[in-house]
Parts: sequence; C-alpha cells; structure tokens
Amino acid sequence: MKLIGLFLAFVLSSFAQEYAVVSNSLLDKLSPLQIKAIFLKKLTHINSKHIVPVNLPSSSNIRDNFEKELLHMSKKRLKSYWIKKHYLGVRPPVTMKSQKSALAFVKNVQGAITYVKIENIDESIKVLYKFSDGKSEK
Amino acid sequence: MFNFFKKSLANRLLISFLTIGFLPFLIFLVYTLVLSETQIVKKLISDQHHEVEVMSKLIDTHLNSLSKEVSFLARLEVMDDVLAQDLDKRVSRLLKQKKDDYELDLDFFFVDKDANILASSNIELLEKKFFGANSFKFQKGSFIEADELFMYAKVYASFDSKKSLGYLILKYSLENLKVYFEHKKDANAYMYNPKSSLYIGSNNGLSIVIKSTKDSINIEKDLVVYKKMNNMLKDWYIFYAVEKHTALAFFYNFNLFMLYLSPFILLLVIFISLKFSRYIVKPIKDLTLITDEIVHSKDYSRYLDMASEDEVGKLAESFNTLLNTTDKSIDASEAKSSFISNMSHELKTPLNAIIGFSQYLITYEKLSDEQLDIVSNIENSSQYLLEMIHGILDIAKIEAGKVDINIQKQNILELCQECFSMLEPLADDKGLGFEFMVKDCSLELIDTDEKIFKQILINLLSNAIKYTQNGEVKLMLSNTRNELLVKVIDNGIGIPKDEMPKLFKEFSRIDNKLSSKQKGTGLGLSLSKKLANVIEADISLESDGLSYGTTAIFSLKLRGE
Repeated sequence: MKLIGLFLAFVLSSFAQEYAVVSNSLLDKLSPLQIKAIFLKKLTHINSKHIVPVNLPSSSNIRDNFEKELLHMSKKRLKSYWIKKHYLGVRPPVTMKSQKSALAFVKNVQGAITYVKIENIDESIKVLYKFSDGKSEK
Repeated sequence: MFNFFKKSLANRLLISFLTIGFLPFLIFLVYTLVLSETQIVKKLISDQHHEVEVMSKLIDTHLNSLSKEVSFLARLEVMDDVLAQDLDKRVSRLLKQKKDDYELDLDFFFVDKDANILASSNIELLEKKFFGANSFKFQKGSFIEADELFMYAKVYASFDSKKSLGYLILKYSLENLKVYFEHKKDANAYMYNPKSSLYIGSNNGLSIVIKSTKDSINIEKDLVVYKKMNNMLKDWYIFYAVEKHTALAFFYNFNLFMLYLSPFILLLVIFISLKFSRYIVKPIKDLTLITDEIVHSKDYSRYLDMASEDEVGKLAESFNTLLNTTDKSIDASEAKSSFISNMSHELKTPLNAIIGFSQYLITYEKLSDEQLDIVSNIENSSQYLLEMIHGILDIAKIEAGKVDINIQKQNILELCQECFSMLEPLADDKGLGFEFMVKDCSLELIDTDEKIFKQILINLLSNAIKYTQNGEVKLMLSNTRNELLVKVIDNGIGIPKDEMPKLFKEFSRIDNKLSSKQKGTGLGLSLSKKLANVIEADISLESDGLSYGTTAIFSLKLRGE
C-alpha cells in the first residue's frame, strides 16, 4: 500500500506542472514566505515600492496549486481570512481572468506580482520563484 | 314711460322679475365673453410652466442618475482590467451589458491617459482615439459636443487610490430626451440650443427670440413657454408650445354655447316673469272687476269669492265684511227714503186740498178783513209746507239715485240771464241793487243739466236776496281751465265762522234775528249741494263773519272735449 502511494507520487511528479511567480523586472527574488505575506496583503511595500499581487480567478487550477504550495491554506481558511481582513479595510488581491491578462497587467503595473504556468513566461518578465504542483523547489 | 310703472303693479313685478332673472345671467355672460379668456390663458401658461418644470426635472433626474452610474462603474474593481488592456474583455462586456440595460442611444467607454479607447460597449470604438480628451478637467463632469452629451468620471486603480488609470465616459445622444417631450395632440415640446442652433425635437416652424431664462409668449396661434435648463444642459432651452385653437377649444365652444343660449334664457325669463306677474296680480284684478261691477250695479248683497288664503284672500274677506255692513246700512237708508217719499206723497194730497180751498176762500168776497187774514195765513203756511215736502222729496230722490239727469250743451250766459231775470222782481221789491257781471269768462257752451243748474242758481240767488236787508246782490260769472265758477255775492248778514259746518245739513238754519223773521225749511242749501254733486259740481260758502256778507261759489267741473 505504501509502495503504491510512492509509485503514484513518482508518476505524478514525473508529469508535474511547473509554475512561476513573476513580476516586472524591478523586483528581486522573493522567498516563499515573502510571497505568502504579499498575497495575504501582509507585506505591501518592498524597498518602499508598492507591491500589487494579482490573483487568477478562484476557479483556476493554477490558483489552487498556488494556494496549496505557497500559501498553505485551504479555500475555507482563506475565505474566513479575507472576511476578517475585509472588516479591517483590506481587500483581497486584484483578480485577472486569464494568465494572459495577468501577465499584461504585471508588465504594465510597477510592483505587480502574479503566478503563471512556466511556459507562458517571456524575457520581459522576471521570475521570482518557481514551484510545481508536486513539491516546491528552489 | 314712468306712468307705465306707476299705474301697473303687474308691470313693476314684471320688471323686477326680469331684472332678478336676467341680470345675473347677463353679468355671467359678459364675464365669460370679456374677462375669462385672459384668465384662462393665464391659467394655461401657468400650467405650461408647470409642465416644463416637470419635464426639466425629469430630464435632470435622468441625467443625474446616468452620471451616478458612470461614477459607480468607474469605481468598480474590474476597471483594473484596463491595466491589462482589457484582454479578457471583462470591462467591455460589463459596459455592453449596461448599455443594453438602458435601451437608449448611448455608449460607455474607457479612455486611458493617452486618449486610447481601451474598453467600450461598442466594439467599433475600440482602439480608436477619443477626440474630447482635453475636456477632462475634473474628477467627474460633463460636456456637450453638438447633440451628444459626454459624462466622464476618473478611474483609479483599486489597489492604489492614487493611481489614475484614465476616464470612464458615457456618450449620450440628446435625441434620447425626445421621450420626455410627450407629443400630445395639441402640444409640442422641444429643446433648442441658441449657441449651436441645434434642435432636439421638432419646433413645428416656430422661431422664438429668447429674452430671459424663463418666459411665456402669446403668439398668434400658439402659446409658448420656455425655460433655460441647468446643470449639464446649461446652454439649452426647453420649449412647450400649445396651439390655442385646440387648447382653448372648450372655452370657445362654451362661449358660443352661452351666446346661443342667451336668447332662450331671455325668452324663458320673460315668459316666466309675465306668467308670474300676471298670476300674482290676477286676484287683485278679479277683485277690482267685481267691486267695479258692484259699484255699477249697486248690488251690495253680492259676495266676493276668493279661493286664495293669501293677502288678497284676506283683503276679499274684509271687503266682504264691508259689503255686508254697507248692504245693511243701504237697506236702512233705502227704507228711510222710501218712508219719507211715501209719507210726503200722502201728505201732499190733503195739503193740496187745503191750499185749493183756502185760495177759494180768499177769492170769496164776503169775508171780513180779519177772516181774510186768517185764510191768507192758512194758505201761506200750506204753501210753505208744500215747499218743504217738495224739498224732502227731492232729497229722498237724490239719495235713492233716482234723479233724471239730462246733460246737453247749454248756453251759459242765457241760462244765468234767465235765472237773473226770474229773481230781479224779488230784489226790486226789497229795493236791493241786483247786478249780473261776466268777468274773464271765455266759455259760451257747457255740458250740464239745464233744470238742475237753474234750480241751484235760483236757490243761491234767492237765499242771497232773502238774507240781505239793504245793499246789493251780485251774480258773477268766470271760469278757469277746469271749472266754471258762478259766484253769488251779497253784503247781507253773513255767517259766523263756527256755524259754517252746519250749513249744508238738512233742516239746519242759523239762529239770528233776521233768520227768525224769514221763512225757510232749512233744506235749500243741503238740497242744492246734493244736486250739485249729481251734476259733478260743488257749492261752497265764504263769509268773513256776521254782517260782513256772504259769497256762495257754485263751481262746475268742465267736461273734457
């Protein structure tokens, strides 16, 4: 039974999808903790620059993986977190419908930060962190 | 004309009824014809002002709600999508949906800082430049280009309230406002901008010179009211024109109706007035008719039968009482007269025998002087008695109304001359001056009864001679316009003032030295006066007192030609 689990994990990881947390070139590399703080709007400025996290829609797989791998929070917990934050006057991050528009947003807005599938990235964009749906790596 | 009212109660009533009935109607008519048009036009204008006010408020509210919508949309988080060139078309879809909700000729679009249209409810506008970008001066506002109104609101990033993304704009065609210009059958509303000479809605060929922010104009066919709009449409005026002939149609019809109606009302009022005035006066007329009949027929035993219980009924009732009383007294008086005339008649027969026999005795030669005296006395007394009986009979006749009157044209001078001549010997006997004078008498012929006239005049003359011892008696004839005056003037014993009223009473004589010597029945004057009344004449006596003489005036009313 344990063996089957390990095998499955291996198979899945061999098809693992890779993602990247990206921003325009003005931002440096960020730690997962920093990314988590940014997307929970606990960290709003880096080097006195305004950081704008951009989410994908809640129906998106990419967002699911991002929340699982980097925020380590369930949908339910996130929901109650944002309800609490709402009463403190903090709104959840901006949501873009597609990766394409999220990338366009990041290109246009200074300090904007989002996450996309790794194959969608081009040179004009700076990768701050990479992660996969299997396990995260440095 | 004045007599027309004075002499007829019915006419007075008629005029009163006509006045009461028609005057208020007349006043009302004049009011509706002359005064009420201006009032109605005034009212109409104030109604139109109200209408314009309501329209302008509706338009204002509508535009304000649109402007709020623009501000509201501009604050939506989804606007952040324009930072990604609205690649997902979320903004455009939202704007399209809003446009569809309104079902009006309008478009929403987003313009970035470089005047590029990034999102729009109308795909055709996408990726074009917006021409009016330099009109954005405030956070939100509006401006008008030709017949299009643009409302704008600045859009900020949801994550950074200082980060301006561009402007959300609503392009609104003013033609949309036509729905507020309710096209009634008789009214026409439109908007006009004197700066750009643009019209929204049809002006129906009217051209109005604008003088103030709010006014009303009464032109030949139309009543026009206008008002300057405010806020977003500040250069525009809203007009409301009403065609007079339709707006005032009811009033004109009413006037015409009143005019056509007035003759009928007049006729009706006249008819009712006539009917009522006659109805009210009729019992009085009936009463007059019956009393006239009674007076003519002298049948006082009749009875007035008035069914009404009103004032006229009461009058008839008291009239009946009066008739009853009169009837009784007339019966009594008639009984008296017939008694007197019968008795006098019975007395005359033996008296005539006495007179006849005593006259026979007087001519009898063998009577001694003493005997002759006695017989003469008998004859004299009998004559006196007979005279008295004649007098009484005459009075009874007059009272019974049985005097025959025979009125004919008589020569007045001849009549008087005859009487004068008849009594001249009597005056001569007493040695009195006796004169007949005509003074200011233009008359020759009069209508009167010869016999009665003579009887009266002779009586007056003989009275004058009788009561004058020495002096003179004058017969004087004169006339005024209405009367013939025959005056018998003497300077005899006269009449004391306090005795004057007694003179015309039957059997009354004034007690004095002279009268006691004179024989007299006391019937003469009374009889003369009654006779005079029969021929519509009168007798009056004037005297300054005892021994100042007397003037008897016999005045005879002249009959109109």
